[in-house]
Amino acid sequence: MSTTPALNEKSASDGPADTYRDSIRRVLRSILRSGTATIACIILLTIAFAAIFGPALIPHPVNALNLGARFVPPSWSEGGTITYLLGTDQQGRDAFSRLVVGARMTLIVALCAVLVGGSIGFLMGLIAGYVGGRTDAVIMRLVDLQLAFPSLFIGLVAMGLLGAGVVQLILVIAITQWADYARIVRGEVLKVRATPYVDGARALGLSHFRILRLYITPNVMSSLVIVATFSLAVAIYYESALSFFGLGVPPSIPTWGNMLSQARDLMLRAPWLAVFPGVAITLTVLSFNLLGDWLRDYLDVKLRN
Amino acid sequence: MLATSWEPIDDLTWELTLREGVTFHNGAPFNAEAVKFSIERPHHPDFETGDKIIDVPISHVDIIDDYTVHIVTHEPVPILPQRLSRNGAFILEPGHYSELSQQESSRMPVGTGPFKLVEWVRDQRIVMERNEDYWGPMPNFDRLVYRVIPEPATMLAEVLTGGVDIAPVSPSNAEDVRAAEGVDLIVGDSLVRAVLIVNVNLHEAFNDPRVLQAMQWAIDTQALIDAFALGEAEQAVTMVNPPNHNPNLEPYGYDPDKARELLAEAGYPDGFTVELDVLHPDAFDWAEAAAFYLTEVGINISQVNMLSRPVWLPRNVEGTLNLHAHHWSAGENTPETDMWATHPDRPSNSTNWFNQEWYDLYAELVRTVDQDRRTEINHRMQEILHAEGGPWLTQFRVPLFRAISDRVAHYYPHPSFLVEDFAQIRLVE
Repeated sequence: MSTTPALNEKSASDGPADTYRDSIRRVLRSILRSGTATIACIILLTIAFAAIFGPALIPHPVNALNLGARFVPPSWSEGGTITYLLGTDQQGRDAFSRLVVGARMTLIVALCAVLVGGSIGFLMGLIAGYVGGRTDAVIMRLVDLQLAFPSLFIGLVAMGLLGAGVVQLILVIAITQWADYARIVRGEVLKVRATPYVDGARALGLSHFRILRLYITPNVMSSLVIVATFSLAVAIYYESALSFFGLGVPPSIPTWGNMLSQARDLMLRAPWLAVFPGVAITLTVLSFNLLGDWLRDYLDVKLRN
Repeated sequence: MLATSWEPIDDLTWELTLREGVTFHNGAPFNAEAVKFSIERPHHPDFETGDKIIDVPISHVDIIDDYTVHIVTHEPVPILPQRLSRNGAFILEPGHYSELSQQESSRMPVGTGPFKLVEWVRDQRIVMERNEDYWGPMPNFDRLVYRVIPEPATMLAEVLTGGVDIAPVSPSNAEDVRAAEGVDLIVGDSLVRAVLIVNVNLHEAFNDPRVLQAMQWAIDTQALIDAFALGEAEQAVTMVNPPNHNPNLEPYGYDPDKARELLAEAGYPDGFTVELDVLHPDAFDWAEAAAFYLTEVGINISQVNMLSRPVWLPRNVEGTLNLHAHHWSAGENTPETDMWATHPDRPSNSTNWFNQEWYDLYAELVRTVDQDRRTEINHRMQEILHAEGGPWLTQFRVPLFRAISDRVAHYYPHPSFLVEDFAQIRLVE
């Protein structure tokens, strides 16, 4: 049993000399070296700040309507006022405040969906890859079935049946994503399972659970994290798309998708109402994608150094 | 109109005199036979789907001669002519409709109107051609194409670029239409009521009239009209449309302090929390604003839901909707049809509201032929609704905004929103 810790360290990190602080420093240096990752991080940190502290800092309560100040354009255009930085909507509500508060629900939905979808996919992939045989075949056919359907279509049907709501939305997005995780995790597990150190661990009589926990999971994690980063972008996109179709978060709760959906009919009257949530969605999705790209390179041992 | 005169002969019989020289689209003559066939058709036991006209207690139709019929009912129906004016009471060609199944004939209508159906592509377009044998004034164009454009923004763009000649526009876009070249804005009166409906079973508070009154005082209906109907509507007192409304009643004003007082009196000084369902997409904007006003006085609207028809229809019948906002048409324009939405025996009643005196008066109203007595009952019923404060709140008749191209004239939207009179349209030469 004495060899176990050494084996574990070998597979999970780079060496015993590596300290926590060192690895943080190395991550930061790598991010700063990549221009796109730096920009992505700045954008995501700003949005995270807005999501966490925004509701306390916004200039107007999100639902405070002012029917006397409907369709005020953004402050820098003609007729705009500094009171309403990004203008007002059809109810005279401040578009900037709603955009800031909208970040919170948008991110909550996306993060929860990735967490739920990732967990299901991870477990399924782990079981399929490790147990193999008939279990593997059944799970992978389920994955194929899931991937054969266009996921937005599944989302629309499921939301139509379940009805609109935050929890339903999270579940639906999670369902449309689990198959991706399952497939990638299974592939990684198959690769790791065939390595000599897993054979060695098995020869030493370790239980399946310990083998999974100590040798397989750490090796699968990096792929999982990369997929999760890309999935976050997709989840935000789904939240917006389903809310845009009126099947997501109830329309009275500001999310970027809801704001976009309500602005759609007012495109000619008040184009700014569609532009800002659209830009916010684009920037967030793009940033998560760029960060995912960087992470993939960073975690790839061959590309390191 | 296909009838030139109508009058009651006794309590149960109406005599209709029919227009002569009218033919159906397939050349068959229009006569008493066709009227008997069409009116009795939905009451036949084999009739597959019921339509609105079916709940008129019609017994049978007697043919007196080719152009005179007697419509006999089981009980007095003082508003029979209005009931026959609504969609569902169309006169059909007996030969065509008895030959085909209901499924088939519904796709191949044969009537007497100014346009014949040429093509119907579901969810895309309906193409109609002028009926050269039409008995009335002839439209001066050959084809009428009805297009389905689901996106309001796309539709507006088509209007502004001349792709379509007539289109509905939302109040938010009305200003753009008014300012645009080559397009005019028409604002039509309507019988469609924008209304906030209380399901009194939703919360025990709603059983107290003071709470309903508080809700009336809480909402600045005039501000909603100014913002979401461009000021082109008047606040209504009850659900009864003119000319049958009670002129002695004044609408509740906007007084949030009074609303808070009444809530406190009713035992809810800290208010309570409910949800709001929106049943008609056009109602969403004003409903969201109304939710804000209610929240301000303590009736906290935790969530505004937009429900699609397949979702809300069963809940409407079960009476399990939350507070709900709707645009509700009343095409017959009679007091009993205007008010039946709060009658406990109607499946479309979503309020669960009950008042014994009102219920008894309604029963008397539907059987009363005498006009003066009818007015008396009708006005008293409205007094009750007004005094109770609900269950219908915050009402105005939704103005019908239409964009109309300069090359089209004589179009006016039908106030009922249920039918349209395209025969009146003329192309400007």
